[in-house]
Amino acid sequence: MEWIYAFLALGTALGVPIAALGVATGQGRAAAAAFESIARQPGATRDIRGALIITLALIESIAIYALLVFFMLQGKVPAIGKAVEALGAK
Amino acid sequence: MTGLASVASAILGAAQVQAEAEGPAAAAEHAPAALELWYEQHTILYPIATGLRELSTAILSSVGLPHDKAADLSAMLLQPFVISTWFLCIALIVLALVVRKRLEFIPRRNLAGLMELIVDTLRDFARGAIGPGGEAHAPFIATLFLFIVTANWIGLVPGFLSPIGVTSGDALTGLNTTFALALIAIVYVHYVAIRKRGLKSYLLHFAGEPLWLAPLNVPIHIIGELARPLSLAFRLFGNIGGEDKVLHYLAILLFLAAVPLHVPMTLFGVFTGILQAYVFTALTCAYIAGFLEHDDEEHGQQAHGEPRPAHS
Repeated sequence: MEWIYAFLALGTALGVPIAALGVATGQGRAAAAAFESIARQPGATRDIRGALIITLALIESIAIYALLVFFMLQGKVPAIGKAVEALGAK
Repeated sequence: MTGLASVASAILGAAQVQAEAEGPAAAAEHAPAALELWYEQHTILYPIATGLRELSTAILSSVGLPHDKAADLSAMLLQPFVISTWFLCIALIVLALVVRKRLEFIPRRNLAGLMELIVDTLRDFARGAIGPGGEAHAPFIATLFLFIVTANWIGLVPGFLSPIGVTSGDALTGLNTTFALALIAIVYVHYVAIRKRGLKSYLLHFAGEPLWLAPLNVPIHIIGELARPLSLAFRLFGNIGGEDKVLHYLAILLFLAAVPLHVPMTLFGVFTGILQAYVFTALTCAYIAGFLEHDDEEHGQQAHGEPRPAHS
């Protein structure tokens, strides 16, 4: 049964980094494209910046969902002393 | 389905915060949660909340409510972050009234000049994000923006709680505030859409372009509309709550290891406070513009290059 705690701790710790990988890649691509178009058309900087911030916010919300799941799982991971106790009880 | 279940558990968790705050045994097992409860109980707001809670219990039970029911009701309504929200509302209203009382054609006072700058910026922002005629929505957008900015910033002040970013123990309390804000914004968006387009055009918008695809389009549109307040609320809470939590742990690090890492984080918090308020209001504007864009197309103008809000 103590495997549950191991998987719980792993999932809690790894959820946000995995989401951050994808989100960082996506945000990097979006920002790169926006900077390229600003360099090509400096006149449209304001419009591009507004669109970029909204797009980044929409991409970022995926990481935020992972963070929320982390908040929910965080309370379910037992403290280290309790986990050691559970392992020792076996 | 699991997403819905987690949403429900988050909401239930936020509603049961008081029950958890009263149970020290549950908090003691989990050190970070206990620390947060400790912080919440040592804010300036906590004694005010406790006093008001006793007062309202006395008033409600004198009106005729049973005593334990009155105590439960006032404990639910008068949590520290609610006091924080009221404090912000009153402070903003008083500020606006003070500035209005001394209104001059050419503002000579610094405060009035600053407020004029803020109002002008927000009006330009509403016009830019919604398109021509967007100034009409500027009061609502500016109210949202100012409240969210001040609510984000007050979490950076020691002794106060941000009503948006607050987590109390394991409960995601701040979701209460952000869901309220998101619901207000979405109800306003649909009110504007019905008012400006008329009920028939509004309903046709849900039916989609080829009318025979309506059975497919209507559920997609409805789910998209339901996802909007959810994503608005979660994004705002997650950003501000996560940042407040990081700040919290860095401040603990200051006491443990004398590393003042929380100073750059606080400055970053000032920036993200503005940025998240901007994102929330810009998305609200984009939703309004999305409903109004048919009017713009007739005049050959697009809503300022804003992307159509994806149904995130």
